[in-house]
Amino acid sequence: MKNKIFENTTKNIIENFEKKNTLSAVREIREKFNTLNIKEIHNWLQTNYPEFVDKTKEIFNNLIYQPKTAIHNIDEAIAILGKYKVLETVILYKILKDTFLKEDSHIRKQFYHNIATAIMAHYTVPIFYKTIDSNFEIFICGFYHNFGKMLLLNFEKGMYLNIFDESITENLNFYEVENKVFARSLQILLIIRILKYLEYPEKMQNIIEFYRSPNLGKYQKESSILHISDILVSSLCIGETGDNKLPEFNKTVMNYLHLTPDLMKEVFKLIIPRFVDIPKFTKIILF
Amino acid sequence: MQEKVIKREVFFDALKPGMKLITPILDDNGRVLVPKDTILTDKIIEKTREFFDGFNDTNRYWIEEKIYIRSQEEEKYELLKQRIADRFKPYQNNHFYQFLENFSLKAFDYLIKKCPELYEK
Repeated sequence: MKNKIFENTTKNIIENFEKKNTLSAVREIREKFNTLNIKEIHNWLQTNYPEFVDKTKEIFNNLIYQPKTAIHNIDEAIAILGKYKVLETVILYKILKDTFLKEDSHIRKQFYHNIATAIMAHYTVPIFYKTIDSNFEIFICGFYHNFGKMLLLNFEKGMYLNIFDESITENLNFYEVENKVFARSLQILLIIRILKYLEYPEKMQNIIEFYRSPNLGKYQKESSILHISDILVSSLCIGETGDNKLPEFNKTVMNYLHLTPDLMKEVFKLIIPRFVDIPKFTKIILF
Repeated sequence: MQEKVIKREVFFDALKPGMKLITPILDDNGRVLVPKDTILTDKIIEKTREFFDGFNDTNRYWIEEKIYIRSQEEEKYELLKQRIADRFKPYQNNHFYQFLENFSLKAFDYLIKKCPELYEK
């Protein structure tokens, strides 16, 4: 029964992507970014994603991307931010536009939480791992860590609301109700399956799969960053997560990252101001 | 909070310090015990109650009083602050989480002023 629910939901989501040729579009975006030069990418995007190109300035000139100098066009975006950030943003844009057609305040609020976690994770990496360059991959993981809930809201709203309501009645968190009913997190299973379908690297799937228990995953550093970012954002009640209680920090992660009050203060001071651009960014990229 | 002045009719027992009398309090013979426009204090109410002792006063008095109404934004602000505090309830005796709660409340204050849309209903 549990498997059937999961299989049906996944089938609906994948059928939707198939109808819209999302996977071939995502493959094509990756291929073009890997083989074309900046000018050619600009021209290709202008032909295939004119609405994205038109919104270049609004998408990238904000505290989320924080370019060193103002970006006026795609060429500058690639030159200033790097190919990878622009590539992943175009893919994200395509997936969002193919998936969420109708404005929904629950979905928007989930998006706020996801983007806030993505920002937190991206800018937290250099604080905890001073020797590692922050890489946009963790931003994308942050964005997708709760994407399964956005998918549930879009394709299985009734089921989402049942879990959501039960979490309120029982004073449990969303994932605790999921564990009670499905013995695993349905939203995580969903997102892993979708990331696999969309040919995202195995590393990203694993980081997300184990963000609640990073000590069990293969990429513990990255999952740990995602773990604490999710909790720190939850503590601010930004958007919607279905969580009524603050999830507990994993003890191994706490020992591993040496998260002290002083460090937390530093994280908040550096990152919180960036959150003010989230609603504007949401309007451009989602709805 | 928004201040509002309202007028209403109350029984003697409902009179409270700070209320302004619109109608005077009279004794049985129509003599003024407390004139109109008096702003009631504990002492005035107490003295008048002593005067009426043993007598079930069923008269009603028109008064004017200030009430404070929370705007929708203030209601929302208080509600969200409470939600943050509620999230930390399971960790009440843990110093680390108390620090985090403190930072979160400060960050929330900053964010709701700078970007209220983040906390849309």
